[in-house]
Amino acid sequence: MTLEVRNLSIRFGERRVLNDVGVQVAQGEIVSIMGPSGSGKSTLLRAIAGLQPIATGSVLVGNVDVTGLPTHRRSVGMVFQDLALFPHLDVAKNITYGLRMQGVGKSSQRERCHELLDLVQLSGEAKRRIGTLSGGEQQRVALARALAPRPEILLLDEPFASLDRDLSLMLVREVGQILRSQGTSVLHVTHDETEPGIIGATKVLRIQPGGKLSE
Amino acid sequence: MDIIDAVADSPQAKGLTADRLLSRRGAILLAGGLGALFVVLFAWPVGRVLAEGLRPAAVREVLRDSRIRSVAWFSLWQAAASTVAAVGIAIPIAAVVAKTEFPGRRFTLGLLSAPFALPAVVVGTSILLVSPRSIRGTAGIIICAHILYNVGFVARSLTAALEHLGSNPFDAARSLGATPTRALLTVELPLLRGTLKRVAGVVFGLCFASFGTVLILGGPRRSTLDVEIHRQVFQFGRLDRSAVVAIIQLVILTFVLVRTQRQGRRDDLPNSAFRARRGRPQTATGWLGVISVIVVAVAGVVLPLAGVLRRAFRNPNGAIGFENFRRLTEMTRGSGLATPPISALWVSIRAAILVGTLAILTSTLVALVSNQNSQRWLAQVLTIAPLATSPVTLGLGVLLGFAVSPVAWRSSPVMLLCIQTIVCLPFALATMTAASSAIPRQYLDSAATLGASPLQVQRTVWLPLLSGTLRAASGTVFAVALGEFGAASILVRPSSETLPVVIARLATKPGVVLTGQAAALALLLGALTAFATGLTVSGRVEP
Repeated sequence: MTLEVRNLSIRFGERRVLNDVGVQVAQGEIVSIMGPSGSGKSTLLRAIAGLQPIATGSVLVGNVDVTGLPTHRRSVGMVFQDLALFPHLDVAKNITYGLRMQGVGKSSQRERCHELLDLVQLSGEAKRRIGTLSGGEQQRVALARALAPRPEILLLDEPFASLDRDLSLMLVREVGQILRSQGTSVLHVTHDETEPGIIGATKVLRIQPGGKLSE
Repeated sequence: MDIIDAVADSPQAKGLTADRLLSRRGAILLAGGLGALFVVLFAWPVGRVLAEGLRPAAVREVLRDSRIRSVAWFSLWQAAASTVAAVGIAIPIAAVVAKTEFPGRRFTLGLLSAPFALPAVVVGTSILLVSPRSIRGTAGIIICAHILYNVGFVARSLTAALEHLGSNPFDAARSLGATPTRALLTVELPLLRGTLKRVAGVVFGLCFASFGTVLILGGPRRSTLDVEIHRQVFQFGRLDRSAVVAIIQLVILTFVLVRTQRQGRRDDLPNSAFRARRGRPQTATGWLGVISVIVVAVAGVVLPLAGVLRRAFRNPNGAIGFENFRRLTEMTRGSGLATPPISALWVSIRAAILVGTLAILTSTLVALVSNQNSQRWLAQVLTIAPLATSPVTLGLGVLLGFAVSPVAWRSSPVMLLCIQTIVCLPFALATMTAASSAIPRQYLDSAATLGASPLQVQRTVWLPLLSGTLRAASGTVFAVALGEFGAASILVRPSSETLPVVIARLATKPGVVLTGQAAALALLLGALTAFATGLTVSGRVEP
């Protein structure tokens, strides 16, 4: 399994947000998790990334137990709801950020950056400032940035929610194609009923009231 | 987003993964180190003041002293009068500046707040130079100086608050038949009472514990408690009585600041999404208001400051020239200085650079630590404690606390630098922690998911996003350090006196030569401060 979540529970004070949840994502699989807002979808992703402490349970990435590891050692890529592109860096520097953290050489960085810019159809936009990009372009840069370090698993935290409907449908389709072409393993959360189908999810899970997951 | 906020506030967020900028151990070590420094450099000296000043014999002696009683009474009533007057003058100014558009609007506001950015010694000296000898040492001149010093600060705060309030409440009142003045008085000011209370509290505190201004303008007749602390040490050599006076001031100051800052915050309103509209004045009354504001700014600020300029370039023989500046390199008889006045310039610049660097470094570390929810207290303590304790009190604490070996550091120049750093810290810390907590958590989170360790997140995301704030804070701290007078007046050594100390010495001595030198040095100090503040303005970038 690329990602395996076992018996995960999360509490906010007294409130149980997730209760004994298990998720499995196999190599190259795209799994969608559906649930209304406030149901704990984002929290689940944050827990997998190590951004959210958990009450019980364990997280395995690439068959390695990462439950006790800090975020930066987990090999988990994440595209955030509000993208969180770094405003002080240009497109290329955003995309290669993860590579720099790994200590990848300059020429390999450039190569990978070109590859990804081509993949997300932004060739030639390497030097642009984040603030000058359209919403859709920002989305693609965020995807390229998360893919650049070749994470074991990519977590998509409703990254399309902030876009208008038409653009978002188009982008979801495009992102699905890109991810399938790369054979990326993906865990994707959304509250939109149509997204799992369009992105090409192989499995759809739902968060039930009370914090349980069901197929 | 509500979940993220809930996470940030949940007690469990303190676990392994709560912070992207520091590992848990790093946070504890850093907080511990900063806390230890604070204990040595702040809590210990202040604690020594308390221990010394709470001796029954000394307390009885001070309370029976009718002169000290009258000093305390004067401190209180002049601070109250100055606050009422400054706020009273600032309200109409803020109303005009916030609501009308006129040429030079921003410049006028900047001009009005200029004295607040200048060292108190410079403002005090300029008032001294333009005022007739007959009113020196009166309550009136001290209150005037305090008004001049604070009115721009109040006006600027109220203008910002009115702009945040938006025009809806005002428009609603107008549509119900209120005149503009009535709308201001019956709707807007009541809505802004939180801001008013907070700003008035700060102004009262500054006037109550005013040191430089009163030392220069009050002469032997008028003094505040802060000046009395200084006087008890240097005129009477009574450190115990000085400590009692310091405690009285500390208690009143803490009471006022805690009361006004807490209550004020409770009354705060959420900001309106609608920014206030500004238009050209429509009526003759409107234009009259604008003209009055400009006249007040020019008459109140430019005239006294121009007085320094004129005096600085008037030679002792009455002609115009650079004689005063030339004489800064000479020892003048009667000055009481150990070195030529000009040497203070280099001492001050060097000290301000060191103090500024230390304060920026410290506030960066504090901001780093207080990004972690559990360590917020450190930033709060470091911001409030030095504001409630006057620099003079802190200086007295050093005299008391570092007198005997192995810690006989009270006359070490390093000690003065450290104390000045503490005095300057709140000014850097306030902006740094605000800017740091305004950085969206998502940036730090996403850097972590991309493989950045806490140290790398600091270096590659957090610091670059704070660079503008850092630059602005550096300018502010440098300016404050240049003008720091209270701690320096107690701890400085005669061979390395700083600019404010030398200016105060020269300005309060008789003789045209010395007055001319004081004016020349005040001009240099004012120009340096303005330069540093200019850096601040140019460094202020919107995120």
